[in-house]
Amino acid sequence: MDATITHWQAVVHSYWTVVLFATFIGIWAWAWSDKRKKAFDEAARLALDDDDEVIEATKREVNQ
Amino acid sequence: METYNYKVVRQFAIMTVVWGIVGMLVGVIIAAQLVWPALNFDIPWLTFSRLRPLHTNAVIFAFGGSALFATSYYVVQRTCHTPLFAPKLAAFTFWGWQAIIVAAAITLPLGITTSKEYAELEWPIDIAIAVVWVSYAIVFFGTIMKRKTSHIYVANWFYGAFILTVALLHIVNSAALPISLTSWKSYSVYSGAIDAMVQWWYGHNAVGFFLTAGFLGMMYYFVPKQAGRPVYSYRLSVVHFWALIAIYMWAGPHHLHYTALPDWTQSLGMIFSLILLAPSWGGMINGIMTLSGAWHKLRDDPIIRILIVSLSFYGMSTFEGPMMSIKTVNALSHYTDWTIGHVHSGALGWVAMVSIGSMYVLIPKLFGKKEMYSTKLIEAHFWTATIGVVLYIAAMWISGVMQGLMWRAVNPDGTLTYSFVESVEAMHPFYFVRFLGGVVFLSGMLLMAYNVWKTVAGSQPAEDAVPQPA
Repeated sequence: MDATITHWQAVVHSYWTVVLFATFIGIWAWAWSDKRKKAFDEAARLALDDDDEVIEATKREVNQ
Repeated sequence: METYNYKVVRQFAIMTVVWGIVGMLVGVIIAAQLVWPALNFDIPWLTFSRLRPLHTNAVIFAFGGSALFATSYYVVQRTCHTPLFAPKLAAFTFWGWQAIIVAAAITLPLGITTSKEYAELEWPIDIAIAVVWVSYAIVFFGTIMKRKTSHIYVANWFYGAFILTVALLHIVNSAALPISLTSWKSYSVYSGAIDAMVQWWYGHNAVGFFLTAGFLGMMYYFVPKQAGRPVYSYRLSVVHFWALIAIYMWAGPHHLHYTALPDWTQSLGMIFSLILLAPSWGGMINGIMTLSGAWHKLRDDPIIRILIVSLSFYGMSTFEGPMMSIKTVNALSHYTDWTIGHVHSGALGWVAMVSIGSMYVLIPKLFGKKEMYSTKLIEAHFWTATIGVVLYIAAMWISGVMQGLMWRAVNPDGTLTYSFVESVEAMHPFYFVRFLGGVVFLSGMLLMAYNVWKTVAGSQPAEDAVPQPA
């Protein structure tokens, strides 16, 4: 098997690196966008909100 | 009333403590053999070469694995508001995993090994691992698919990445041809430098996904839970998740610096290892800062202290790792005890301590208790664990750097300054300190076993109701 990298393979590798880098920046921009803030703030509480005491307390608040 | 499936979680949680003691005891025995070589009693099954893989397999896959199964099955149900998918298959993963551990404990002392580090088990056991692991994936992702919550919590992303990647790593690296269907012996399908590269692609991702991503999943549930605070920055958790899983894949070649591996591959591995510092510290900062506004809990709650100290060791070892991957540093550190010290700062300081802390949160909940039997014993466990790790890694740092310096010292005429045996002699006192550190760490696990026993004895299994959508 010939292991040398051809010109076109090198070109594809270069663009692919740029695509991955742009994707990463994209994820970053998405994560920090304002419209995600509310959903993420709720998600950050998921480990806490599964407690029975918390659920009961929430139910009581809703009923009052 | 629909309840969560806690039975399999309870089974794995108890076995976490059992295998922790067994695995660490074997570690203490082989540490003692290095101080007093006569302790192998000239019995082949008790030699260092056979017990060492038994130790690593027991602590990583039996202790760490049971902790990951227990917590992932618990967390995925609680955060998806639904019981486990395919409960019979979940029960199979428990018995299957225990059978594999027993098979490892029999075959490794017999000398049956592939000789691939952290993948020593021979082909029939490898097939069993693949079957159990795929079943695990079906249970875990099946539960995610039938979730009642809209969002998939970050802990589940980490657990999911760990489960998927370990399946991929295990199946690719274990590809081997047995010499016959009635023989345990097999040979890797890869050869030469490619075999080495596949092995360390597996080996380092076992660190990255088994020992990191899985335990970060644990951290993202149990640290907020015990601190009573939401995750510090959920956005950071998203970004460092994707960065971590994308970058870890490429770090393996740093295990093969200055070998037959092509030079560019070594440099690539070094660069990716250096970049890894950023996502690793993203996780550490996010975990520690979850305590912001509640720092007093570090003083009052020994469980929080265990969890936060584990994150500190995670930060330390993920700083040390990239440094050691730099080729010029690696020229000194590789093949010395420094590597052993580095591994144990991660394995004891991070992996074991985050598991221990999580078990102290989890076990009372599983057995219908408000808290563990004794908080004083948890406090004592915190101190024995911390002192044990510090003794261990400090001894190995000094011994390792000294070893590296002695091996490379050259006289003006080009001859070696020290013979190999002189470096062995110089290591001897540090091997004793390491043994001592191991004994102290293990004694903490015995305190834990007693505490768990007293918590569980005479209790009724907890039956928590699944929240019903309003």
